[in-house]
Amino acid sequence: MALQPFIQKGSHIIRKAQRIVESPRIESLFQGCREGKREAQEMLYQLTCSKMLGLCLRYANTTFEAEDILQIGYVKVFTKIADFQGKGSFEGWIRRIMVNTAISHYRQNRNGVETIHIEEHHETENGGSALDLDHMEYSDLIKLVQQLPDGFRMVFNLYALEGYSHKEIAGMLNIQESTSKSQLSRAREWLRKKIKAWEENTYA
Amino acid sequence: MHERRINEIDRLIKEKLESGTPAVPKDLWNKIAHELDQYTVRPEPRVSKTVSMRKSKLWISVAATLILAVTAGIVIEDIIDQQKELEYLAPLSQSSPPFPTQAIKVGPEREAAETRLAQNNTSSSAASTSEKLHVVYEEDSTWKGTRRNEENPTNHHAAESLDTESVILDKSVTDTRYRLLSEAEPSPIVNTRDAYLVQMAEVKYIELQSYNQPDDLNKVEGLSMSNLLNFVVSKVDKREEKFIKFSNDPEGSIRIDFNLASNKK
Repeated sequence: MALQPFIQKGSHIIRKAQRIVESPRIESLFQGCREGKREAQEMLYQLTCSKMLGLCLRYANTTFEAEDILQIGYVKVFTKIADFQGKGSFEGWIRRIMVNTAISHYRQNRNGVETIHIEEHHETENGGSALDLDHMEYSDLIKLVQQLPDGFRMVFNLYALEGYSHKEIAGMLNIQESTSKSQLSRAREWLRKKIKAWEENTYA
Repeated sequence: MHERRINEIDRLIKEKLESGTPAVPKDLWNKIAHELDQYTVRPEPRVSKTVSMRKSKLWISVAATLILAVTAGIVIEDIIDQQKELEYLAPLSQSSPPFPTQAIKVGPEREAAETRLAQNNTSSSAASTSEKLHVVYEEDSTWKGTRRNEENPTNHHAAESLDTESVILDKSVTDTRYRLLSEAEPSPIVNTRDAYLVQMAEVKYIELQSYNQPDDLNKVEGLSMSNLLNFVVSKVDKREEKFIKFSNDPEGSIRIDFNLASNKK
C-alpha cells in the first residue's frame, strides 16, 4: 500500500513521456493531411484512433455508438482540416472535433426529452469512505460511465475529463449553468455509489 | 483556465480512463477512407470553368498582341534610324569635300591642329615673326602644300614665292570665328599631316550640319511603323477584321483603331 503513490506517479510520467514522443509525429503529419494524402491520413488515424475511441466511449451509451461517433469525427477532421488555424496542438484540435461530434450526436438522440433536476444538491466533500479504483479494470469503469444517465454523463465528461467550465458547458449543451453544476454533483454521487456496489459484488 | 479544486473522484476516474487503450475495429479506417473518397470525387462545375477560360484567352491574346506590336515597333524604329543615318553620311564620306570659302566654326580638333601648325612654324622658321599664319589651299581641294613639300623637303620658305589664294588665319582673333582673308602674302611652311587634320575637321562640321536636317520617317514606304505593327497584328489575329489597326496620322504620330464590334460574335 505504501508503494502505491510511487506506482501512480510512475505511470503518470510514462504517459507524459509517451505524449511528448507522439505529439511531434502527429504535428508533422498535419501537412500531409492538409494536402489530402491518404497515407498521411491513415498514419494520423492509426496514431490517434485508440485515444479518440476512448474519448467517444465515455460520451456514448454503447461501443457501437462510440465507433459511429469516431467515424463521423474523423471524416470531419480530414474534410475540415483547412479550418485548423495552428492555435494549440493538432491533437487538441482533433479532440475538440470529437467532443463536438459527440455532443451533436447526443443532441440528436435525446429526442428533446430531458429530465432536468432543478433541486439543488450540495455535495459534501469527501463524503463517505475514500474510493479505490485499483482493482477496477478500464473496461469495467467505462461500462459504468456509459451507464450514467445522458445528462449526467455529458456534464461529467466535459467538466471532469475535458476540463471545461460550467459556463462553457452551459453554452455547449444549451442548459443553465446551475443545471450543469447540479448534474455534475449528481453524476459524481451516482458513480461513487456504482463503484462501491461493483466492489461489493466482486469482492464480497 | 479558471481555478478549481480537483475532485478526488474526478481525478481517480480520469486517470483510470486515460490509462486504457480500447481496441479499434480494423475495418473502421476503410469505412472512413470510403467516406472521404465520396467527398473528394465530387463533380466540379465544368461549365463555368470553360466560360472563364474563354474570357481569359481573349484577354491574353489582346495583351500578347499589344506587347508584340510595341516591342517589334521599338526594334524596327531603331533599324530605320540607323539606315537614315547611313544615307546622310554616305555621299559626304565618299567624295572629297570642297573646302569652304566662308568663315567656319572651329571644333576642338581643328584648334589643336592649328596650334600645332603654329608651333611647327615658329620652330622651323625663326625668321617668321609675323603675327599671321598662312595656310594655303588650292581651289580644287587637293592639298598643294603636299606637292610643295615633295619638291622642297628641306626648305619651307620656297612656298613663299607662290601666288595663290590663301587662307590666312588671324591669330589676334581669339573667338571661335576666324576671318578668311585673301592676301597675296607669301605663305610659309605647311605641315602636311596637321593641315590634313584641319581639312578633316571642316569635313566633319559639314557632315554634322547636314545631319541636322529634318527627317521624315513616315515617308518611308513599306517600312513605316504602322505597316509593321499591322503586320505583327495580322500574324497573331488571323481574322479579316483585325482587332487593332494602325495607321499614320497627318501629324506624324501613329493612330490606333480598336475594332471591338467584330469580337461580339
